[in-house]
Amino acid sequence: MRNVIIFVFMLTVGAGLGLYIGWVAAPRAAAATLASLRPSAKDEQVLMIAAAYARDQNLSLARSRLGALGFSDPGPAIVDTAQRTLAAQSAPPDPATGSGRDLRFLAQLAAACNTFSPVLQPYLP
Amino acid sequence: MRALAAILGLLLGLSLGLGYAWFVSPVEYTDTEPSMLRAGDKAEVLQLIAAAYAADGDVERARARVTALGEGDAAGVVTALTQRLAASGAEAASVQSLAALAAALGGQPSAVTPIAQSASPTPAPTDTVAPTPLPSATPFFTATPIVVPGLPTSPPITGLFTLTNTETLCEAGAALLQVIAQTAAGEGLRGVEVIVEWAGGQDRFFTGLKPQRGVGYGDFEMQPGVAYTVRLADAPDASYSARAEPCTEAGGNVSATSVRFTFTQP
Repeated sequence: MRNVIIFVFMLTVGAGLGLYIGWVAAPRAAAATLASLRPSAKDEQVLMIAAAYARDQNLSLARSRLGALGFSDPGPAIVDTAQRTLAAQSAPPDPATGSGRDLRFLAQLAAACNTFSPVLQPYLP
Repeated sequence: MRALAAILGLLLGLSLGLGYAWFVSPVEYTDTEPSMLRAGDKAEVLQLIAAAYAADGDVERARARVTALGEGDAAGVVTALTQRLAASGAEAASVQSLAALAAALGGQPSAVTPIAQSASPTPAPTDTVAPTPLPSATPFFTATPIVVPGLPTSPPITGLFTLTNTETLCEAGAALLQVIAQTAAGEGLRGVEVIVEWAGGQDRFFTGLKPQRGVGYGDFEMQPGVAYTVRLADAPDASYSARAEPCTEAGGNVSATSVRFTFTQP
């Protein structure tokens, strides 16, 4: 009986030690996914997706790429990215260059996703 | 006996704990860096970077985005992916975007304009390599018009290509099957897909992946004695033969001949 108690006790200790090693001391090096990217990296991905859409007009591909980022409803994500892009500007951006061009791309993609926002309205053609 | 039970219990518990932590419920990362992405996701992102570059033409931004993936050699990693996708028969538009980005990252960012934004191709940079033609080099192919249908995403690569020159070269190093695609004005055209075939094999490459040799330049390493056939991907009916033969280069070393085909748009 005592042996059983010792066995169970050591089993518990071993399991706890194993969990500590596996979760804290030496977690398994699992690669990150697109959905786990930090928010600013996701914004960059959304900007690229919008630019690519502006060029190829492939909405299903754009939706698929946004889905891989974890955005099942892409409209709000696009508007959020636009708001953060605008917030980073000290002056209203020129729609033809830099951030203004990014916002134009985002506006086009948002419109294609049937999402309209006052933030993006000035950048629609 | 007690020690045995303790050791067995500890080992079994350790195995169970580790197995659960590593395989059943591994650590899930949040707010990760792009450099930690899986290789497959990185390839997807690289294609996205190339597509965005084709839209905005901002090469320094594209370079920063590639670097954010943890890839020090931006041009090298994009070139490698371009060649891998081209070899696997991936969508032409995607490969061309990557080829344009690879060319732009190759050292002359200001001289290269993305295909999608360029109605006319960018002038080729000066070719710094000056191979020595064999004294007896004689074109052994007849110039034949090659029709290249317009590619939807590559306006510059349209119209009629004509094989305007063939050279046999004796250079130090590997024997290369070289292709130069250019406009009538001699401006290099990148992104032209070339297919090379030989007995039992096939490969393909694009012009523009070695911008240091010219925007319209592309090459393939030949094995001496093997007969190759080269053709443009969109002109399957016009093909040309090439073979690397032994030769003695200017320095007196024995090498193998390279063959250079120049295709020109009217």
